[in-house]
Amino acid sequence: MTKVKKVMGWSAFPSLLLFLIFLGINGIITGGLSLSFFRSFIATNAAAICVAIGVTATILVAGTDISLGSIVSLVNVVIVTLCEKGFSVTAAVLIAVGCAILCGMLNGFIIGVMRVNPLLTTFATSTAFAGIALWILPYPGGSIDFSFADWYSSNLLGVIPMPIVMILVLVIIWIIVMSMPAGLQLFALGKDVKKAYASGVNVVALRFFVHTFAGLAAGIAGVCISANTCAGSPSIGATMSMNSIAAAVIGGVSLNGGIGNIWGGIFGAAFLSILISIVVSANLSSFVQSFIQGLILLIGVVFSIIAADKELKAKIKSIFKGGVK
Amino acid sequence: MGLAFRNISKRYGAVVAIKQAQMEIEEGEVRAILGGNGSGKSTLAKVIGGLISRDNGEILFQGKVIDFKSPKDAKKHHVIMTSQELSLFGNLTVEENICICDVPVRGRFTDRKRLKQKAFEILKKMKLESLIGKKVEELAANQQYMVELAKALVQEPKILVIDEITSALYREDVEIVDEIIRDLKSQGCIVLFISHRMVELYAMCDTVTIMRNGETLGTYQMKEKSEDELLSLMVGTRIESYHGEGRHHQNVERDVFIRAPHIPIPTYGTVESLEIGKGEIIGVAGLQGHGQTDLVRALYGVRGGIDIEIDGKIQKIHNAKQAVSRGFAFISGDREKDGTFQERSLSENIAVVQELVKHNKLDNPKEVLDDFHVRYDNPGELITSLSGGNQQKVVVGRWLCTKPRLLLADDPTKGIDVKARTDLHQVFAGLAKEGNAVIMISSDDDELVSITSMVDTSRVIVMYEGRISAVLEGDAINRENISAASMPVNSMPQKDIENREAGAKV
Repeated sequence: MTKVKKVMGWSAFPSLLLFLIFLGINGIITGGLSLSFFRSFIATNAAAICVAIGVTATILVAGTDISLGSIVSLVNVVIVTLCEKGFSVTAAVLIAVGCAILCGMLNGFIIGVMRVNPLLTTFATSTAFAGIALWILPYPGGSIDFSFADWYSSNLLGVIPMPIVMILVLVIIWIIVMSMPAGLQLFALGKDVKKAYASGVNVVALRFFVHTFAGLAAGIAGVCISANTCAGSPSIGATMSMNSIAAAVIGGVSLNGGIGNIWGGIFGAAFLSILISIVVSANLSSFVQSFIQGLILLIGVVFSIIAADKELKAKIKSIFKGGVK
Repeated sequence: MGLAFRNISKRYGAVVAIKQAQMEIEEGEVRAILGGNGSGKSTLAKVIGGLISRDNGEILFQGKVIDFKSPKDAKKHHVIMTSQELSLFGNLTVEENICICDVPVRGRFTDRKRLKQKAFEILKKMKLESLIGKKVEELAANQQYMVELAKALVQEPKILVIDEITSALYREDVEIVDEIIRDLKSQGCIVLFISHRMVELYAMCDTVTIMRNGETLGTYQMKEKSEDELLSLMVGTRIESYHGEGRHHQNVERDVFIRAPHIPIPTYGTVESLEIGKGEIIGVAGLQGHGQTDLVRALYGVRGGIDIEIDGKIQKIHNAKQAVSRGFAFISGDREKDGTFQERSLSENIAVVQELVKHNKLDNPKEVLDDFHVRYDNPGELITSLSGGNQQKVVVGRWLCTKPRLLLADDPTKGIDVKARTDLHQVFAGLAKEGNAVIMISSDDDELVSITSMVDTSRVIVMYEGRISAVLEGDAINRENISAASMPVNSMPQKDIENREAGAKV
């Protein structure tokens, strides 16, 4: 009973539930769930999940990062352009991920050291990064060697699909950080900057770290999306920034900071992805598609906020108790 | 050689928080710091803890000059400052909170086992080991305070600054705190205790330093001074005294026209009631943050809906707009936040309530400005070009031209000069004399004594922990009575131990 309660009380639980429900709906619509569906689902949406992990990290310290989508685009065009210039795919990928980390560090420097508001900073840098992406590759086009796609659809050690390995890289880094004192301090910082400073927490270093981590997450997302499409587009990540924030909120991550975990971001993003795939497979006209998508997104966000509201829960409970008596 | 402060000064802009503070404390001494609102106690505590930098002066510890750049730096030297507003994280567990300043590690990783054990050992001393595993936001106020103390103790302080216990402690808590402090004392730790609770100060402290207006007035042996002596030292006598005492009208019948039987005080979860007479000025006194602001704002309808009986009719007030339409006005001492529209002109600031809320045309804003003796060049200039006192006169003018029946004022003369203050007092008294009522909070007790002496019917109510602890009328309105009621001597809760463990709400 207590274990059930613990799972129910987990901040990421509502998003997991939403994901499973919509997975079921999707199964009914498409006629059963198959392994190949999962493979293509995860291959298509690993990028969104990675970005959600990155943005969750920044929201946990009461910040945010809306530049991650632009970084994804940047990574994509860098890989394509370098491949066309004759670099090996490996070299292109490493350079592109390096760029993403640098972008994250820039965000982290401005927000952490210079103490500029995270929303404004990343709004400005997102425009700048998107601009650089457009500068490098003004039109969608170019192609990457198909060996990249083959690598992406292969399995590590014969069992773990590569997209999952990509997500696991981020998850493992995060778990390592969480098991260091910095993990505790990160949640403290998210709750209250002043109190954290008074408790001797290194506020600057932590902020710098989360934005660098978010940059890395966007970099890996860029790699996934490039491998999945094997083509370049300077606006490929444009919608990802806001979608990832919605994913985090659905995953029970408080925008005020200090509450939630990356699992929430992961399940939230997975839910959003399955939602999109349902709406697409329902063969609706494209005009209605985004309306319905938005509507369900709104319901999802409201639902998860209600689920996180303790006072409301207590109220519902007391009504329920009164009714039983 | 213990701890010595030499000529410490700190100013925030034009406001002097501490000037030339001097103090010397021996090792193993427990020192109380006593002072009224804004006397600089908390600023001094923050200077020691490395939270803010000082402008002048030096701090010597064991003969060496210490100069902390950050709280982290101070903690390295085992100088620990604890204060309720700056300590616990509600989203973390008790043990995480206790150890957050110095997380035990194995290699580079958090040693969860030792973290728990460390917290357990400290909490066991406090007989609160049952709290382990709980989140801090789930704890009652007294338990949170104990956890806060545990967090300080775990850092092995050499200098411990305890700032403002605002939550009530139960008797057993006090005994435990007492024991812990005696323990620290025997280890040669210096404890600075900032509190308003005289009982606790007498129980735990050896000596007391009095602060007033940012200055340290003197240090005395706790046992040598009676409570009354300490309070009168703390209150002091002012040069520009208001001469209100002894001039109040006695036993005046009041003609009650507003009754508010249920005024919620959300901060403390208490409910108060108030009856307001025509032509009455009610002063609201008490130490900062004891529910005064809640009281006034609740009447204004901004702390949830409230039933108020006006002229015998029960009216529901849910928000400020409804309150204004019932003839209420609200003036806040925090001009920038609640008062002025900074990017707007004087005439717009004057006319805003009358035109936008009450939908009446205000013919001549200039007349209002002149009536209230505002010093200005032309009505079109921005309100920010005026001095603070003149800005406040504009705000008062805005409300008074709506002919309010009840004026609610939350420390309206904060930060304005003596002349402007006196002007405002006269305006308020004039409003009351026309048969309306004024409820005014002030952090300055003298001001309340003075303004209540200006009209026939008046009262001063004193608030303590969300309740009205005293109602003073007539000759009883004086500084001593207000101070005494602000810090009730026998306020120690005499509840049972079970109550404490259950974590009663404060």
